[in-house]
Amino acid sequence: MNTTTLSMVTIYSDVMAILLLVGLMLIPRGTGKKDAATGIFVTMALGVIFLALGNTVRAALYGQHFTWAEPVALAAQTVSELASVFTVYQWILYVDYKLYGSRDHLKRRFPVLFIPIILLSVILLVNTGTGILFTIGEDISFTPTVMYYFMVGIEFLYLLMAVVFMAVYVARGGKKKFFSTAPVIIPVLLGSVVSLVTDYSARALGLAVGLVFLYFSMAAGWRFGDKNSGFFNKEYLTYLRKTGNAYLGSICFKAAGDASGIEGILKSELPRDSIIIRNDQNSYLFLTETDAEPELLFLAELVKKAADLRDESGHRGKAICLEYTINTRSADQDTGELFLKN
Amino acid sequence: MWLSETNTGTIILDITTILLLAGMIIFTSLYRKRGNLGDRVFFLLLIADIITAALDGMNFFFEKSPFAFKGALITAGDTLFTILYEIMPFMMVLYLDYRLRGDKRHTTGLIRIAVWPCVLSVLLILGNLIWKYLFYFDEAEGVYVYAKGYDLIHIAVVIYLCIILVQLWKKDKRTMIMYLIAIGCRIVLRNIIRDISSTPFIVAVLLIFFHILEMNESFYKEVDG
Repeated sequence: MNTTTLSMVTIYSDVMAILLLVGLMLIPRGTGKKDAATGIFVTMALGVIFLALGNTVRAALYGQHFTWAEPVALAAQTVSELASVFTVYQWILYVDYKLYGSRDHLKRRFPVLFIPIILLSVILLVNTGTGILFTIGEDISFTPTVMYYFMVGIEFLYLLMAVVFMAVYVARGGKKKFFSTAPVIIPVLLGSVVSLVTDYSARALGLAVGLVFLYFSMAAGWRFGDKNSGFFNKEYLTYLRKTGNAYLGSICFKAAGDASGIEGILKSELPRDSIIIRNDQNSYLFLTETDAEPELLFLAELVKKAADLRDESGHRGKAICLEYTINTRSADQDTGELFLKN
Repeated sequence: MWLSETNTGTIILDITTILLLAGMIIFTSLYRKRGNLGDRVFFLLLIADIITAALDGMNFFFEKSPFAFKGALITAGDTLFTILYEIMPFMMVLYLDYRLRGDKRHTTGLIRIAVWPCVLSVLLILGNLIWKYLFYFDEAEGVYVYAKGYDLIHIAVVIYLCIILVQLWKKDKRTMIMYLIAIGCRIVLRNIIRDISSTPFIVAVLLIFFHILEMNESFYKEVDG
């Protein structure tokens, strides 16, 4: 086997991964807003860059026999593995923050998940002297042990845990637009599987592609998401008007008072896949694909009753005082846009 | 298996490219519905690069295979690949012109001038099917041969590259720097590892940058404006 060529292929794919991520980091953030999710994303990108750099150094040293080649390759591989372990942990943090949007939630939940990461990091450091995870041969060849595959298994579990988080969130009635774990996990798993079953290391490239997809969804979220409510923002309405849309009816809810209370009611009472746009501070537009007025009236009344019930129960926070207006495209024969103008 | 290390490396990069571009098609649906000239050209660029990556992967997959039909298959595949290699920079010139100016008349006017290097190159590539001055498959030796005239296919690409750099130099230096980094990596890596083909991947990287800039900048302006 031409091992030099093989190392070159690994270097090539790692350089491509670095190119992708450096390119992403050169592009300014869309809204200029800096939230924890963006910070975690940047940390993940840096982690993948370190992973790729570590891989590149070891692959570049392949077949070299000078004095320091072996320890340098071992150090590079250790850095690469540490970066991988911390990146999957950051991924879990990212998913949780995207779903719940709360630093407190992160602080409560994640010290427990951090313990295996610390343990793996310690084992990786111990490995440099003992070779319990992997060894670097005289020709800088990489030889993993069974323990190494155990560690990779834990990393996979962390990756897949994001799917469980997402499923639990959705089962509780949550809905997250412009965010899905699958576009990230699929390329990462593909890259990891290629690395495990062949002699090429495509792990960094898989992670980089996953992060690119994550960035795409972030860009879409910046563009159309309302940061406070989790609904669509007004720009999305403008976008719908520009592109033409299939929505035939709308209910505009106007309220004074506790915004989070109103938003909670809209989330719980309206169908799960609803398009809800936060029009301004106290106005929410719910778009439907039907113009059947009895159906719209039923939904509007459902929300109104839930709001009234909340007011009557003396719930903490100001009164909601919900009002609504129903519009349909068929009722507006001119342009069909009136129902979007509330 | 007949695949060499470099061939496998190229196939991995091509699969990655197809994966990236398939993801792009999903994520660009947000503004593809808008359907202006720039959006349509961008979508065609995505499709062209997917086909290029598939052809590239196919060529490298069959290059050292024992199949009797591989000569005709690789020649056909590489001919189409090279034609797309000429067309994509031309489309990129049109895309950038529309993105930077937003003037459909200017862009359609530009087509009349800028299309000629591409047309001549395509004729050159089609002529190669008869006279074999660019590349051919040597049936006797069972190897793929790059002839002396092969570098001619780069002329139109270099012309378009210069046009793109002038376009970006005037209006968008940040994109120009990204463009230069991507092309620079391509040239450097090509010189270090000659046997790996990464053209579709580099084009995909550029398209990713364009997509993100589109989401971040021009699309905002249009909707806000």
